[in-house]
Amino acid sequence: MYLVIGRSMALESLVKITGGEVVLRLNGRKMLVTLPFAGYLSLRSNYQISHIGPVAVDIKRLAKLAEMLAKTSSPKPGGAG
Amino acid sequence: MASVGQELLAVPLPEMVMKLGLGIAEAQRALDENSVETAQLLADTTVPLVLAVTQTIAADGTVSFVNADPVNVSLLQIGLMPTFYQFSEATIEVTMDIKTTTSRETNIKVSAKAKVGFGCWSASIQVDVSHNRKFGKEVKGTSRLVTKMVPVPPPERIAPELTVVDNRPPKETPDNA
Repeated sequence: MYLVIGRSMALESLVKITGGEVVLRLNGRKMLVTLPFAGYLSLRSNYQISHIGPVAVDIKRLAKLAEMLAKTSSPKPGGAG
Repeated sequence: MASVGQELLAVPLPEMVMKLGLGIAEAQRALDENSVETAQLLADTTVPLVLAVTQTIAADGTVSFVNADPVNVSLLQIGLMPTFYQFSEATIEVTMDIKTTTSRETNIKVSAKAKVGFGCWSASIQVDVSHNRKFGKEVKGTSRLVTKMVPVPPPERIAPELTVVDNRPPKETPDNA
């Protein structure tokens, strides 16, 4: 998965042309996408892309955050609830 | 004429190793810079995260859903990490094909001439000898550089540690009152 930041709003079509798929649209110019490696290399040298970098999901960290935030919105442990 | 051993010694292996090392260092720096830049962008990008959805089933059986207020969290906080790569292996292969040839050629040309006249005679013998020695050397060389990259875990301190300090007093119940 890659974090892609474009210079124009035509980012999604660029990603699709190179065989990629959009996973999450953060805004018009910033998205998380999956790409074949050739597509990554192609976008790296594309002047319409201001940044592209590989990212991975840290499942442990995501679970920990969800747990932490769930605690803050749940009743105090030890109480009857 | 240089021997095969001398030809092999002439291969600039230290220079090749040095250039490979510098190339790897340069590539590693570029990779790390890209990963750090990605980490910065992940930290700067926030998304609204809905942490709880309440499902209510009414007496008449209708179901409704209410989302909790979204919390803005950065992509780094929710566990999206830049991928870091490291060169784990580098190989240099040098293949040389050396062919040396020596050929020697000797040409001898002998000619004799005789003349007989009135009371005298003459004779001459002419010998031409030529030596040719040819040296041939053919060196073919190929080199192959192979590097292997592996993903490595991001630095441990790239994202802040998440801890919860809950100072709310416990609710009073008949058991703990």
